[in-house]
Amino acid sequence: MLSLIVQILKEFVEFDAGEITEDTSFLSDLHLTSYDIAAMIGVLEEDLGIEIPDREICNLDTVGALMSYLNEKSIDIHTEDTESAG
Amino acid sequence: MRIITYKPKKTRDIKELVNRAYSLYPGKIAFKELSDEKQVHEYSYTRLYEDINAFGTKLISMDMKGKHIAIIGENSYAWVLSYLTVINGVGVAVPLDKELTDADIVSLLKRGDADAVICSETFVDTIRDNLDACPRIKLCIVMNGKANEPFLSQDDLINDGYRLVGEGNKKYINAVVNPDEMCEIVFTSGTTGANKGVMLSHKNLAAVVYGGMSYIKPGEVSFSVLPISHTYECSCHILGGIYCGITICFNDSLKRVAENLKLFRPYFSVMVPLFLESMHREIWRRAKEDNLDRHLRFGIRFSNMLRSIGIDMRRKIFEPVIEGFGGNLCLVVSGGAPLRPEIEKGMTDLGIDVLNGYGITECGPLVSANSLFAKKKGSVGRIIPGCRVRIDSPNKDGIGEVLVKGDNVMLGYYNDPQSTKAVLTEDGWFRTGDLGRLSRRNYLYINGRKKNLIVLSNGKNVHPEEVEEKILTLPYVKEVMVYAPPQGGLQGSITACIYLDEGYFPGGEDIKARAKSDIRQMNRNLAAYKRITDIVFRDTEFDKTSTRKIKRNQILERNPANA
Repeated sequence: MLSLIVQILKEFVEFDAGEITEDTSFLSDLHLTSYDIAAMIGVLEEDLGIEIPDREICNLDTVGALMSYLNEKSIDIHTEDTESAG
Repeated sequence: MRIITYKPKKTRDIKELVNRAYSLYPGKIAFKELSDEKQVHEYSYTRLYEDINAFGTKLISMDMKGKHIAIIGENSYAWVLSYLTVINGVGVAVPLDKELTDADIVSLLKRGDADAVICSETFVDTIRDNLDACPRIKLCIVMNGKANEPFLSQDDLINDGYRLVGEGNKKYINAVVNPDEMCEIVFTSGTTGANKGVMLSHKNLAAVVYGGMSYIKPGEVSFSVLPISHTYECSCHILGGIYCGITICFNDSLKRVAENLKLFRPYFSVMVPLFLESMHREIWRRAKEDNLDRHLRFGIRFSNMLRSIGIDMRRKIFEPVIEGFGGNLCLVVSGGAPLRPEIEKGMTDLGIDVLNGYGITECGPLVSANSLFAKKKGSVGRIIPGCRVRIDSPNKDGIGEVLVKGDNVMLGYYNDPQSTKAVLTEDGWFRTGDLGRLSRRNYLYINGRKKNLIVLSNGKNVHPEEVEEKILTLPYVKEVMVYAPPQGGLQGSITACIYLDEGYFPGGEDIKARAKSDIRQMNRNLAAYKRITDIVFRDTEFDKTSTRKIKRNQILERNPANA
């Protein structure tokens, strides 16, 4: 799942993939804006065919928080499939 | 000095504004929005006028005359319909920010003395779960949804209203609004004593529409992306748009801005610097990715050379770039926070004219704006017609506090005569708390703030004291200062600089780790835009004044962690 998030993040900001961990904050570490985060979630929704309510986006402030949210919603991601499809 | 304007007609109140739009543009589409199934729904000016009359008639029949009615939800036709219905003859609208936490919503429902709530489905659970805490609320209405105890369906009420109107009930239709009376309470940011309920009248709103439309011509189709509960979006864009008879298309989610721009293909939008920064960055990121950045730079030089001799080919040269924003976007008004001049120029060079303006909720909000025919770099534009600005106690450079007088200035703060007295002078000038200067040609330049308010690039305001108060509840925090350090020319993310009581945990617990963890928890109970993103620690107390206040400005000029 981490690799999928990293892949989507690359559409919004330049970074070294090795730097991204579960503790990485979208705002303070990657310097994304709240608008970038919402747009990134939009891409994720489209890729995974899911819906994340706008009111919940503000709690997804780190890579780990986003991963936990997706896990809680039982969203099963086969990263290899996603990557090869992309 | 002659001021060039578009010469709009001044309306007495917002009821007249809606009636005028109905008679001038009956068949035109007023609003477009997307349903949950992603179908585009359209609403004409006739539909708007008739729905308002039906809903208002029904609300009056339910004893809602003169009541305070809170409105909360996403940007939508139902939101606009609710707002206009309430202010045009029912009572006082209390628009609430959809980004607030549940606790903040409850607090403002109480402070606004809300007797009823109209909300979108997103907020049904929040309202239902907190009704006991708001005993004054007697009526709950859900927009675009089915009745579900205690919520009544807005659609059912409108249908019933049509029946009442058909039977000859004219109580709402014939109601005369008093332009000088309060018609809405808009809460500024924050939920504690730091924020205020700004009381606005029809006269205030009509003055903003008149002033705004004197400088801006929004074309035929616009895109509504900012929160509609803010006066900037509601007064300047929605009411101004109705005045001009344009079609306003609602963005359904921040997740889909790019997609919706392509769908609705707007000519005009009202934005905050955050959006323009992101759009500008995205243009250059894509150009770089496609190895076209050199071409783009050359194109800009070539286009600017042509413009200098009066030939404007921007829309042709940069067509592929503009296509990324729907293809028709020509004009964006920026406000809510300072916009970097290089972004304003960068977007304008590419064919999307950006006009910077200035406003404050207490002024309805518009005070000044640039226009296509009168624009000055670095300025927030000329003072709008019907409004006056004076600089209080200017220094040698002419910079002092910006004071505003005119029909757009609020009635005062709700239930807060003391704060009202502090900002409204006896002769009717409003003290903005902003520092600026006024040129001889009536262009306003903003140089900073007198108050400690943090103005974020998304237009949201944060009172640092409110966040500091929360951090100070941690017993091992001795002192704290909250600020937003500049980041790439913008006011960046919210930072807390903390001086800890190192000896608080005798067992040697890692106090810094504990502070970080506690603040992370605390963030969960703060509205997203108020959350602390960065924490820095300092080893010594902050410098203070003789009255023991932290020397905030002096410290900000240096590095707060060491200063």
